[in-house]
Amino acid sequence: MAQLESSPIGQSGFDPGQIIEFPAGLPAFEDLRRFLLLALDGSAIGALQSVDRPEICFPVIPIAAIKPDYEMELPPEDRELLAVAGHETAGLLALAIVTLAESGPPTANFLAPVLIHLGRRRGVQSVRSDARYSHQHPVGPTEEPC
Amino acid sequence: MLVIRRRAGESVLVGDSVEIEILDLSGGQVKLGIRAPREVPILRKEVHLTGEQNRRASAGITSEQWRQLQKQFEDSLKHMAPDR
Repeated sequence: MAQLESSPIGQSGFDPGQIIEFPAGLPAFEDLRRFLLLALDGSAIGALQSVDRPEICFPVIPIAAIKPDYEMELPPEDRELLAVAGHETAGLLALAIVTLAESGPPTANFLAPVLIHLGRRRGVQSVRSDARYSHQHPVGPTEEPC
Repeated sequence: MLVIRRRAGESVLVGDSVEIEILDLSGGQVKLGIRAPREVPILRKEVHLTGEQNRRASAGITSEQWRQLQKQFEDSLKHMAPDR
């Protein structure tokens, strides 16, 4: 069991076999290549936790849980980073990073899904170049329509 | 916003050190060549926005906020998964 120093979500030990390699890092965090995907109990939300800088931890949600009709796009350069061939999307998990807004509901970045191949333990934050989805899509509890 | 019409092979200069050349136009896309000093970052705007968003998302979330998020999404899952 390897140790994390001070994860915000209180995780301390992990199995090095669980590390997911992000060969290109994430935008603004290009030097961080090793992450853990931690599930939080009883909740759709998870945490993408940096191994090398324990204070860096992104809240993530599976896009399918929030937007089931999301249409994935995987440009060739990202496919290469994930080491997947052709149009293979099986085994890919699509997550969106969630940001707490100062006011209003949290937002999810649907412009740049985090794609993780769980089998190969590789990940990439794939920034779309179309304007189809917002980088600040409001999520979370909405009022139930009457 | 300054608007300039240019053809393939023509350039614009930004300041003294940045040159943007129109290399090719085809299929609704424009191919740009950019000459700039190494220290000038050049990013697709979407990547820049995502970088800013990533900084905000990871910046000092307290354990209390984590618990709130967790609770919110626990609730929203319940709302989302009614027995149909």
